[in-house]
Amino acid sequence: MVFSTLTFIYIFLPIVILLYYLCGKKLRNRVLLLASIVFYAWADYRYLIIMFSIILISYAGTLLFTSKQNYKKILLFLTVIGNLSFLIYFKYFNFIAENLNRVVNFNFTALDLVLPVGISFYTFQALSYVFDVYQKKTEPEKNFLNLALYICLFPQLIAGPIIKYHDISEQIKSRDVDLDMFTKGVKRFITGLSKKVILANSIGLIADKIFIQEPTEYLNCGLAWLGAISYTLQIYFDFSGYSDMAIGLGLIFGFRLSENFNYPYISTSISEFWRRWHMTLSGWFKEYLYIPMGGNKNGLFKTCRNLSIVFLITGIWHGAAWTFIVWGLWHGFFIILEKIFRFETYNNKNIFLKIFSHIYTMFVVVVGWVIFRSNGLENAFNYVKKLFNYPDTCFLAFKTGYYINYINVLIIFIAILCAVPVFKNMLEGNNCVKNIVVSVWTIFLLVLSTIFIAESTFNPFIYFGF
Amino acid sequence: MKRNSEINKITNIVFLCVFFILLWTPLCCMKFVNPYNPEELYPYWVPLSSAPQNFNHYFGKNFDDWFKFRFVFRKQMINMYCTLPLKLFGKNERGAYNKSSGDLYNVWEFIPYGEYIINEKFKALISFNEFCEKNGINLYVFVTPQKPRIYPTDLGIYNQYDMHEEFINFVDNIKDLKVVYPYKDLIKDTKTQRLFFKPDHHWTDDGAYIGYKSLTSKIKQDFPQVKILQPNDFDYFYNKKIRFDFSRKFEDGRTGYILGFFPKDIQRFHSYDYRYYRHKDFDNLKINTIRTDYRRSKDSYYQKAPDLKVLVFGSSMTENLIEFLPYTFRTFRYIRLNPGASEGEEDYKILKKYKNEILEYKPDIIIFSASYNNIYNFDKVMETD
Repeated sequence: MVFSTLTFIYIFLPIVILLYYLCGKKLRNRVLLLASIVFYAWADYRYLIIMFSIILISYAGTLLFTSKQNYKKILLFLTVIGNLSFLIYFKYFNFIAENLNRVVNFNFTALDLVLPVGISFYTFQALSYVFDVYQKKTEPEKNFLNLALYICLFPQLIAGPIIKYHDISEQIKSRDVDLDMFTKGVKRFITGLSKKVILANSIGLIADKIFIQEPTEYLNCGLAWLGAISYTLQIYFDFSGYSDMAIGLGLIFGFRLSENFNYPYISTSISEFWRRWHMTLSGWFKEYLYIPMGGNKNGLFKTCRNLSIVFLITGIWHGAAWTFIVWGLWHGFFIILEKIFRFETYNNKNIFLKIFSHIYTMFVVVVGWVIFRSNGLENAFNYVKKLFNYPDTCFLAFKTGYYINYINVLIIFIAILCAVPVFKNMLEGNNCVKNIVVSVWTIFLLVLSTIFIAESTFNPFIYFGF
Repeated sequence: MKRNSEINKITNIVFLCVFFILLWTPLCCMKFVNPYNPEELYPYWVPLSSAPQNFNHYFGKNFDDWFKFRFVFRKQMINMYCTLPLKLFGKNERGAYNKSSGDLYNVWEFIPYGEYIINEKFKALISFNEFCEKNGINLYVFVTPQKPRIYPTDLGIYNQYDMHEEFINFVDNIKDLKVVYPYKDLIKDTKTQRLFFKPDHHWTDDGAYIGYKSLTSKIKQDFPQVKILQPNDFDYFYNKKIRFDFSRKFEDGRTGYILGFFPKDIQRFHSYDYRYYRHKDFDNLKINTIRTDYRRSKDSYYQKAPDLKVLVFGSSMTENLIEFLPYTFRTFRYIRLNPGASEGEEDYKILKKYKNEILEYKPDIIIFSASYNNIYNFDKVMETD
């Protein structure tokens, strides 16, 4: 099920909230688990088998390796492989087969596989639990239903935030909600919803129309930049909107889920960008991959090696295509450069350096999104060439002006304002006037978002594919 | 401070009350009866049975589609979404409304391809022509103009990037293919007749008749026995409804959508008496089959017409032509390329879908009829996978 559908907002959510608060505290986890199962089974209930296999492997694996200390490492290895095998098979089998066929002349036939929704997210959550138990950060969960709820809790099930087990294990066992928390949750959910359906979907229409075209023949420099900037805004509002909805839903049911975004487009270095973008994924990699490999403790060379590996895997995690791998390495490359030259402007007060750093960061990020969005590396390369090809010739007459009508300009303007912390400071605080204004505004956003959803017929989240 | 927190508490309670009223209203006001609506989708109700292959794995998506048509105020919401920009800017994301003439226009009625692209798109049709020639068939490509070309409008940027001049130039100079584009014939009559419906992008019977004459004049050059129907071959009647709205001999009455308006709402734009044609020998046209399922096709036989067998591949613009073509050729078959069951590209894969049928039917003439804005799909004609 998708958050931004009429079914979710106007059937699933009211029923779940009602059942959750009608039943006693002891039953609440079961209500949430049941709701999560229905939520996940909505698109295709056969995926449940995969999700519950992963839960079962994690549950049994951790119980085994904590009870049999002599075989701890081998059992950990088997548990991790067991978890990853589904992800590798469904997400990467065809990609690996295709590349092996190309390189060593094998003859693997591509399988007709449909990627189970959210598999990358819940596999990483399951691994988080396994690693936490292995590193003794937490005790193995004896209650299967609690573990199942951690992995398949519907607010964060299909597109994160990726919650580490030790951050939420206590909340699963006991949590409370007060009026303030519940209200904040509703407001956060509606804010995320409007980011997704009003901003991301509208800007996405521009980006989609441009990216669908063959760059060499159909794009010129201006159009290429418009497409790149539109996609940069679309992916941010799409994904951060989803995270806001997840965090808001979490608050409604008493969970304080980790923040996933912190205005990434105001960053002044790529390192800072990754401290602000998809923070739960970068946090996961940092805690379970980068630091165990030695982090930055063993000299510059090993730090660079570790960073390369982390960003290679970050790219692979996003999708089974060379574009994602190159996108990961592209970011890794600039982070390594920043490490080598000690380029860190986070606390620098020189305004010119900050402006320059910001331009550099956004340039790397935008070009990165072009690679990320393109269909294939050749396409990406041709698109990037078009970004720097002015004046140019193309066969198509659709030029930049075609895509810029009053409404698009207005939406892009609003999106840029919302991508920087302009309103954040204005709306924060305990002032009652602010609260009234925000409440009225939030209701208006809910109505407006509903109008947009009712009007649209197709609005899948970008991050479902990863 | 205490007062502040009390006001905040009351605000939050009021906010949540409004939120829950909004949240529960659609569920409480849901109507379970099937609303009559051409866009209606019918779900397989039971997730585990009575669906294709006995298991409806996609029940959830199925339900989403079902529910969205029953969502309270959906219609009003969509109308608001479509009307507000029209009122503010004279345009919405789907097109524009010309207040003085009462015409609605869709944005996709424009093509942005230069001559190079048009050439590339037509290459497949040239190959299709070779295939037809090899099988003793004459192919005619009939491109139907779009309304903004015949009734120009101030759609600003869209007009600016339309490549109509290039296309006319292309049609005038193409040698390997018989292409008919009746733009020049239509443009002569815009002041005396209403050639396109005002709230719709299709041509009227008057417009289609001009197109018919352009097409059959071209065919007559190769088949002199063809007799072009004259105005006195028809009875006429007038109606404010647009073509889709009412049933005719070949077509069930349905209303199309334009600019996001619902069928009933579009009727408020019905303000003109359109002239409709009906052949005087209407009762003697023998209709063999009419299929309206995934394949929309019609077969007819008219004894008094010259003994020619015609196969027409067409789109919605061809629907009016079949008030004329079946009386011009004795054996007639019309296949709608875009019946709405599949997505654009797949619709135009003629060789993949109809090769055997063409060879079995053995027509003397194939008319490939498509709208100007469908040129984009022409390169799919010869695709076989």
